[in-house]
Amino acid sequence: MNKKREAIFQFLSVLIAIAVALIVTFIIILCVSDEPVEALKTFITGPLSTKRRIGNVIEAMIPLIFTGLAACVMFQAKQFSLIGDGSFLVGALATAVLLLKCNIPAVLAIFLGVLVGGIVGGICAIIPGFLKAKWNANEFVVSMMFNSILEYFTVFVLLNFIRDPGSGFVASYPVPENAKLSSFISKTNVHTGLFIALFMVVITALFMYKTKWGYSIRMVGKNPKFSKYSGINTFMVIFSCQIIGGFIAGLGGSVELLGMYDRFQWQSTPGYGFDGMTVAILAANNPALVPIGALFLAYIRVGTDVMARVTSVPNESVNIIQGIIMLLITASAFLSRTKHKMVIRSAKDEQKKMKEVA
Amino acid sequence: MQQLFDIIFTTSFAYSILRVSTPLILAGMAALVSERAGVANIAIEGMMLISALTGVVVSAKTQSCFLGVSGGVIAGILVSLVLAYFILQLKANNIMCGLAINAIAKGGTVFVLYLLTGSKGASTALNSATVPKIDIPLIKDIPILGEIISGQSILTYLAIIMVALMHVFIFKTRMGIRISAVGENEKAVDSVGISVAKTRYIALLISGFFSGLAGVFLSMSYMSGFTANMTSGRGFIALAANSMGQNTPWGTLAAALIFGAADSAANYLQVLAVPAQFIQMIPYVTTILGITLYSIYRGRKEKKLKMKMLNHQEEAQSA
Repeated sequence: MNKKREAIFQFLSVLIAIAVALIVTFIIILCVSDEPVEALKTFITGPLSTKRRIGNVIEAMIPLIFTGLAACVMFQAKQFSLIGDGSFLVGALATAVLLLKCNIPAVLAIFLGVLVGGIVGGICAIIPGFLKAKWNANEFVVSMMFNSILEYFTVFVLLNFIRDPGSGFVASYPVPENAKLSSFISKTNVHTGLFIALFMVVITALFMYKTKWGYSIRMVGKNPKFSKYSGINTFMVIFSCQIIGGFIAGLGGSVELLGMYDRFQWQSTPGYGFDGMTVAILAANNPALVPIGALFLAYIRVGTDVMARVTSVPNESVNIIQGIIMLLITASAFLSRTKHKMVIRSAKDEQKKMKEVA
Repeated sequence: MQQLFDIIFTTSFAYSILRVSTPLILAGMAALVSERAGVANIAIEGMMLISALTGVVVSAKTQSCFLGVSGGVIAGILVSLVLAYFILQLKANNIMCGLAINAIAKGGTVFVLYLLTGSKGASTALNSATVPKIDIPLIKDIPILGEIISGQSILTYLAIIMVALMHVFIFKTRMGIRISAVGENEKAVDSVGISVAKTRYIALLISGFFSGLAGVFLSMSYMSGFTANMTSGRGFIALAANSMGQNTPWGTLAAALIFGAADSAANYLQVLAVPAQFIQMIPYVTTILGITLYSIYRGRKEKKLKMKMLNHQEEAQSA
């Protein structure tokens, strides 16, 4: 099957998965809500109803872009690590500690804060990445366990080093004003982190498709044995793709902190690493498509939030939608008949061409 | 240090190890049977959650503990059917499928809980049943041992009986051996006319059964009621326990007890001067160490096997 048809097929299967997930959601809403029409309407049009809600969608999209990119890089090498969750959390923590404990000149504050967040996020990925690359320890389970350790570590640092006893809830001292990513659309919180996110999309796409390193990552994902015998250092590829994923997720954590919060206050992961996986699947692991996937997930997230506020349908419905989409997109064979037909068609096309040439 | 020993060498500590390990043992069996068939079941966590809630709801509606447990187990089996359909029929990646089912379970249980009780946290509004604890005659009168072993939940004893049954099932029955064969070499199994997909279906259904029991234990014995996300990673720890137990029932039981001990130590050691967070890390650190050791061991074994095969080939050639 040629590349163009493959792309069309993939696009169609994503669309159908989304459609099925939404239909299932509609059915659930019809069953549980007293005023289903109203609920559906707020779910679909709610996020567009006011300027502030449109802003909410874009705000929610920013962290999803980062963790979506992180998941793309790891998925391309077939590494199913959830370290994005932990890196995101500890990246933000590192930024908070740096800005609160060191006297950083105002000019450098944002740059250094975000950079340190990324680096620490990358460091978080060292243990699961190394154990997988060196001894083939299941990166999924290890990253999952390691995330719990990182959560407790975060709580420890928050309570003992940066906690502001004067604030009404458990949170750090306020982050210095000059380090904040300011909002640039009035009446919303849409902050300049959006540009950092889009910049990272470009960088990651270039890295994956235009550099030798990115090529090695994709190669190892497609055929690890072939890559090994053709001289690619698979240890380094498997190790590094998880570090890069951790780095990008860590950047996301700091950007989220500096753009959306006054203080560091997470005591458990906000779960963006897992959401990033959904985004990566929606984007077919292509970094360039991540913003679209992130926008979609952000949209249904805000939609279910608005719906939960207006009607009696709890916003956990978003997890159900997310799960169904993941299930259907990864079930490559649910369109196998269509795919089969397409393969035959492209084979026939080629035959025709061959005849014409002859 | 003295304080530490005072805590660890008590009968109540040993008693709590058994109690805390029970869901890990049951979920470990779920991990074992699917892993043996060559499909890592990531969805155990989600299945446990769904079963835990179903058990509570059914027992509250029927006021019967037995029906509650059965309902929870059936729910686990049904979810495993969905998982098996996606992995085996639709050829979806098992990790992604597992994650998806976990997401649906995590959101879906809170969704249902909220609709039934109006709370997103716990099922206290539902008057659900709990599985009774039983004293074992004779053993309960033995000093020390009696205090540890007797008076546990029925499901705890069931879990240990299940381990013995699984040992017989996996190593002595035709079906059990087929399941292991499918995991080791599916092409060979296929070539002698056994259906690979059917065998894996059965393995996943058994996995769902055990996940269901594990979930029901959490909400109807470990605690009396359902709380949001009450599995808190036990489904994944079970996967680790199984790989550390080298895919054998008794090994998995031992690993589950080690993790259980680490977990209850974390509960008990909170009186020490060490910051609580570091003590809470213990079970997770133990798990990672366990997986690492097993992976190193497995790598060496595979290498040895390869060398052996190479030697055989050389011998054959020289002969």
